[in-house]
Amino acid sequence: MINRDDYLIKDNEVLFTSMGEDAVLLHVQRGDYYSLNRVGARLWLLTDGSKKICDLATEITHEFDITQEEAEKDIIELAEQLAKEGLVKVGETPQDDQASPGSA
Amino acid sequence: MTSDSNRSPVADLVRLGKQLSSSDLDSATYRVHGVTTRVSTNSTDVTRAIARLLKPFPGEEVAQPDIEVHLFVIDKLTDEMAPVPGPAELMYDWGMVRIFHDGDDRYLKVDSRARVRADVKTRTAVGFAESGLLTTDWLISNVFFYPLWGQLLKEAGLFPLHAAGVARNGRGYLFLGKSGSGKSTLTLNLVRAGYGLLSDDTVFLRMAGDHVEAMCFPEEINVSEQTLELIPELARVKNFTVNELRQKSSFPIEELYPGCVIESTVPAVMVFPQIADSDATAVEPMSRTEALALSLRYGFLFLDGSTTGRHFEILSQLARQAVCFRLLAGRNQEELSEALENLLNSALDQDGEME
Repeated sequence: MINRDDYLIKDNEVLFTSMGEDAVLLHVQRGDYYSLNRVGARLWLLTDGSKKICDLATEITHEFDITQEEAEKDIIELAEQLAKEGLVKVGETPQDDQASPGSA
Repeated sequence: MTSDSNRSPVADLVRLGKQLSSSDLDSATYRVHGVTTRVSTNSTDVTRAIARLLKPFPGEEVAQPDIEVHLFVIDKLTDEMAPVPGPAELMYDWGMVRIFHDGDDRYLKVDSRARVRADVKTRTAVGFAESGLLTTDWLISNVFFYPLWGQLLKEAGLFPLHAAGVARNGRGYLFLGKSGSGKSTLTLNLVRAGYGLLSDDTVFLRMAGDHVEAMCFPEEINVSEQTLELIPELARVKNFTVNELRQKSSFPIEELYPGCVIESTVPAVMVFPQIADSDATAVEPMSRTEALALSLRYGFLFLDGSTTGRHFEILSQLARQAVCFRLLAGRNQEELSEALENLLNSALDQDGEME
């Protein structure tokens, strides 16, 4: 169960590329790829391992017409999907200076 | 090569191949878009087949080519000839042809009758194939030689894409699709209409500043029986090679359309063709995200950890710079070229207005 005080940590084997407002993720080891909508793409770029989900949600509310509560709910839903696919890990402690591999 | 590479497993395999060869090796150098490749072999069949594949890319002998390939034809493949090690991971599987990677090494295995090992650091490959396997030039060039050579080209900055490519008025068009999706027929129709040709099957991509360039690889054009019936001037071709394995015939395109091959273009349009079950041809817009997802399939994006990031970036940039369409190619071939050009121009204009 993911909660608003958890941290998101990106898997180092995932490549990110921007496609206009959307984005595509490629898992290098498996060859699986995923598309993100513009909010998901922005979330991926904001995620650096040092921010809690609630802090990420706050940044999203500054850029999109969405409430804090809605943003936290959406991020937790997306984080559950990303974690299920092995694209992120969820932790209770921050991971600073996370590399952002292969941002295209 | 350095003294270290002279003691490498690949260098040992070259020595083994030379010991098994009764005569001196033939050697030829090719220059493909600035990348030099020297191919050495003990087989005149291999020399001929590679010369045919790389005919548009003659090169002069150089002391240190960018890529070195040694191909030995032998009676019987033995365990010491480029065995695939246990830890090697499968990168690509075409059934009888498989590619593996293990650190800096790549391995090609064709049933139990041919193996090639390539070292991406020294960009050197050495292969062994039983003479009974290599019954056609296509098997030699496209099965024995091309797969790992293509891997070494990636290390040198040229990334193969399974696509047909044409250009006109400075605008490049790439058609991406599996075999049988109509790429060659579309290409022929567009060359007939005056477009320049890069290839009907494979182009090479490379970064040129902030955009992607597509480079030619004009292999002989492959046409099916159906295409032969649809395009009347194909009856004038004298040098057809029948490939029973692929159930297609091939011919040098310049025999029919002299001067049609162009060196490179900047792709502005990506088209994903399908054969439509109707007479009419239609074009549908496709999102860049879907185009990238599909081009990953056709871009030979092997997950080798060495070039995957650069390759992903090139395919991403291609999808960003091109307008992307799905083409449903109708049966009415006579009108296909005209309909295609009109539809693509119209769609491009619409895209420009939207931007």
